[in-house]
Formats: sequence, C-alpha cells, structure tokens
Amino acid sequence: MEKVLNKLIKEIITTEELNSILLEIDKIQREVFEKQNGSLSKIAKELENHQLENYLLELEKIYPKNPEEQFSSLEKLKKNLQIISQIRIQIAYPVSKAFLKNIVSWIEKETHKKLILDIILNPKIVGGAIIEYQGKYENFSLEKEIDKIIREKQI
Amino acid sequence: MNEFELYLEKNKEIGRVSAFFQSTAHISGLPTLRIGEMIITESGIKGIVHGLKKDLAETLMLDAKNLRAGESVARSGKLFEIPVNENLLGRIVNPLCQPIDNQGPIREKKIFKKLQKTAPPFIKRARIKQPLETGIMMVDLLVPIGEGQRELIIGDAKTGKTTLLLQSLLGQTKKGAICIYVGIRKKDIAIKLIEDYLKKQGVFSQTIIINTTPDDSTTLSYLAPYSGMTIAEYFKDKGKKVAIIFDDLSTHAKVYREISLLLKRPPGRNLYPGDIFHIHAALLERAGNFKDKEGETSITALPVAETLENDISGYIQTNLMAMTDGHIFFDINEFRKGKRPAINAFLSVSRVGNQTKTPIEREVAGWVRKKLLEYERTLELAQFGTELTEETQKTIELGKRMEVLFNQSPEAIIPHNLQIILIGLLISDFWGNKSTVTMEEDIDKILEVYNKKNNLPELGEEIKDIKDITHLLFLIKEMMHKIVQIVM
Repeated sequence: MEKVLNKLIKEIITTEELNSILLEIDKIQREVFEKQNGSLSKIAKELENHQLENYLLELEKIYPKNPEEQFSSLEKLKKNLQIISQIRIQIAYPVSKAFLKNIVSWIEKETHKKLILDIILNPKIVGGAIIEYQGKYENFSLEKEIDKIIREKQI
Repeated sequence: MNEFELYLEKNKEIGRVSAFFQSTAHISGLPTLRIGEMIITESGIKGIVHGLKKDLAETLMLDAKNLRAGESVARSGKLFEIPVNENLLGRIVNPLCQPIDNQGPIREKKIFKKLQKTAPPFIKRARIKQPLETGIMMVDLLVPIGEGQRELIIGDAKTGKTTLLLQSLLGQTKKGAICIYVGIRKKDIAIKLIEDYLKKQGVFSQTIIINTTPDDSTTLSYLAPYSGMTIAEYFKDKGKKVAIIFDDLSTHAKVYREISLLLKRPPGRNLYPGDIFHIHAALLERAGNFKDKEGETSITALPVAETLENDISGYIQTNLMAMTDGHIFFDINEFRKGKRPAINAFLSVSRVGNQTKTPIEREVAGWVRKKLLEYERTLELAQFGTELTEETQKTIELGKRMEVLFNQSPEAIIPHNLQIILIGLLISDFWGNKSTVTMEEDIDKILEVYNKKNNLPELGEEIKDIKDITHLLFLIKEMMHKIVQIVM
C-alpha cells in the first residue's frame, strides 16, 4: 500500500494536479457512500489518473466489501495529500510539464522533501522567477534586473 | 518601487492575509515576525503585529476597509514608529501624527520614535519633589499632585473632569511645560471646545491634542495613548517637563476589549481580556520623574476613568486606582449640590503629592481637612432639626465659607501662595459676618489684583519662610491694610 501511495504522491507536481486529485477523491468517497457495496474496481476503471486507479485497487484488496474502512482510508489519503509542502513560483510564461518535473526533482534532491509547485503566471516579471516558500521570498525576475539598470542609469 | 516592494526586497519574507474581521487580520507566512512590528500589505495598508500564534500572526490594521483576503503582506523589520518633531506643538493630530486640524502638513525633519517601549528602570528615576500646581484650591491643598506623578481623575460623565484637567493644563503651560491631551473616541465638538479654551488662554502653542473620533478604526483608538506617551517621551528627552492627559482610559479598555474579542482571546471579568491590567500599567509606568544629564525631567500622567452613578468599584476603575499614585474623585452628588469642582476630598487620595509640600502647606491642609470633616458631620446632625449650639452654628458657618472658597470657575486659577493667604484670611475670620456673596466678590478682587498688578510681589518669599499657622496669621495681620484696600 505504501509503495502505491508513494508513487501517487510522486506523480503530483503542481497544485493544480493536487486539487484535481482531491476533487476525484471527493467524488469516489461520494460513490462509496452511496453504493455501499464496497466495490472500488468499477470506479477505478473510470479514472484518468493511473496512480489513483492503482491505489483504489489496492484499497479494495485490503478492505474488500468494507465501504466504511474504504471511506476512512480515502479521508486519510486526502489529509496526507493536503499536508504536502508547496512552493509558489511566479513565472512570466507557461512552461512544459517536463520542465516542471525537472524543477521538482531538483528541489527534492536538494531538500530531501516532497514539494509541489504552485505556478502563477505573471507576465509583468518579464522573465526569470519569483519564489516563495514558507514565508521566504526571493526575486530572481528579469523585471528586478531591468528596474535596477533603470535606477542606475537615472543616477 | 513602492513601500511594500521595498520591504519585500529588504527582508525577503512574504505573508498572506488569511482572514480579517473589522480592523483585525490574521496573517500567514512571515516566519520571523515580532510582536509590535509594522507590516504593510500589497495595497499599502499598514498594520501592527499584536500577537503571534504557531502559524499565524494577529495584526491590527490601520485601514481595514480596503483589505482583501489573500493579499500579500511584507514585514518592515522594525517596530511600529511615529514621526515626531517640535512642530507638533499647537496642532491636533491623529495617533499616527497626521494633522486633522486642516492647518496643512507638519513641516521640518521628523524623528521616528517607537510607539511601544518598556518603561525606564528604577535607577533612572528620581524622587518626586516638585509640586504640580493646578491652581485649583481643593486639589492643591487637599489632594496635591507632584510633577511626575500619575494621578487618576475619576468620576461620572459631565461632572467637570475635563474642566479640572484643562485648568491643570493651563497652570502647567504657564510654567513652561508641554501639555499633551489624548482624546479617545472623543467627538470633534468636544475637541473644538478644548481647543477654543486653550486658544483663549493663549497656551495652545504649548499643547498637542491627539484625538480619535468614534468613527475612527479601533486600531487608531487603541494606539492613541501610546502615541501620546511617545510624543511626551520625545519632549522629555529634550529636557522639557510634560503633562499628559488620557481622556479616558475606561474607553480605551473598551476598545481593547473589542480587539481582544475579535481576536478570540479568552474573555475574563466583564469580558475584558486577562492582560488589560498589564497594558495600562505598562503605559503609565512610562510616566514619572526622571534623572537627566542636566537635572530632572518629568512626565506627569493624568489618566481619566469614567464611572456610572459614583461606582468606583468597577473593574477598570479599581485597576487604574491600583496602578496610579492616587485619584481625584468627582462626586456626582456634590455636582448636583452645585459644588464646582465637584471633588469629594474624603474619597480622593494622593500618595506622593504630600512629599512635595512644605510644612506650612501640610499644616494648613490638615486644618482644612479637619474643619471640613467637622462641617460634614455637623450638617448630618443638623438634619434632625434639633436646636443648634453656638459652637455648632460656627462650625456650619465656617464650612459654608470653605465651600465658597473652594468653589472656582473654570477661568479662575488661584496661584499657590494666594491659596495659603486665602486660607489664612479664613482662619483669621477676615470675612466675619459678611455674606457669602461679598466673600465671593472679595476673592475675585484679590485674585484679579494678584494676577494683573502683581500687587503682592513679596508674598512668594514670605510664604516660603512661614513655619506654622500662627506665623501665617501674623503675616496676614501685617498685610491686612493692603488686603482691605483691595477689597474696598
């Protein structure tokens, strides 16, 4: 179970993805509550997220025909996902998912922590990035550099 | 770059407004924030950190009307400060030292002073030795105040508390002191009346009025006394004597209660938070008589507390009594009887004022207190309608004359030396069988001559040398012809 959970968490890169998974889990919980038959395989087949699908199948194996336990396990999963630290990055233009994945794996390698990216598009910063993490703020934007040059020239 | 961006770049910390209600806000982020620090939002709204929780900071915002949830917040890295300079004199400002009197901006270079500071330690304090002359006989004789003392003015609304404060303010400014009046949730009309009185007396240029109206935010009202004290400390550091009036701290306590309840702090007695005593004590501790390089300087604090139907046993009222060096009690019953100022001398206390008095002043005060007490008791007995002995009638007559003597109009400031002379005249039975109306006229005449012509210049020196009442009566006898000429 832990392996499947780790894989699911590892797959999440951005807050957008996290939010969509949380919505999916809500939906699954609703169905589990309504049907009360303890069958998760049917629901799993309809899911787009492969890792979440695996998680549900694994859950069904552990708690077959036990909707109550399935429901509370999904609740625990939601809590586990909600506590993942986020790092907010402002960038000027959209970047590919592969690029974001590279960033996340680099951060994880450096910090030994699972982090997800809260990407905000802000064309005002021209280029580079503004990074916020747990109240810390670093401005690596091109806007700041341009401002600096303008100020120096004015002096 | 605006102020927010500058602080963000400087401190490299960012937070978000996670919730806000009225003038309080919860801020997440900003990991190294301190209590009392100034913060600024993306839209330029400033705030002050009031409390810190595990993941949140409780802040008091100066303008909560335009605040948005999720807005970015930067810390300033410094405690909340206000700009002060000498040009604040003669102005009416809000607690942020921004003028509210339509007289234009406050010019010249300003010094930024921290709003919340710890009180000076014991080692920097000096014994209170100088009397603070209010010019009100009842106060100066029976409840004397010393420079650097904290004396509570307590009483019902509309009993003449502000009048007494203004009279004492007048007496102080005439001696060159700086006076600061802090109004908490006072209506503009009340401030206008104070301004007019001070302007009429020609002392407005030595006064600063800090006011918040009932329409202002709770944060501003909460900060008003701290702002006043900070300005007082600025002038004290310049070697000037300062008198500060807080009108009134019971309203301030209500403001603080409002803030604490909004911040969901556990309510205590009368719903006030547990630290209500601390916040007022910490404020009033900043007043006192201090050692200076060139001698001594002082901040005399005159906080006001309002009561309801003479009930001085209220929570805030007793708190304030405990943290001050005495209190002057304005009795609504005395006020209804027509006594002005309506001070109840028997329920008023001055714990350090007596040490500023000379032996003759102490003896005169003792005599007055004794006679007043006799008068009160005799009046109570006289109510039963029994036939009064000659001695009892004399006591009542003397008591009535003392009442006339202690009844003062707001404009009448009786100098200290003259107060002793007037009591001397009373003891020597100067007014004999004259009516109380004639007595009132005589007092006015003597006061007028003393103030305008300074007809009794030698009085000051002579009063200093008087040892006891017998000596005083001898002096009165010597100057009798002069006084008779004045009242003729």
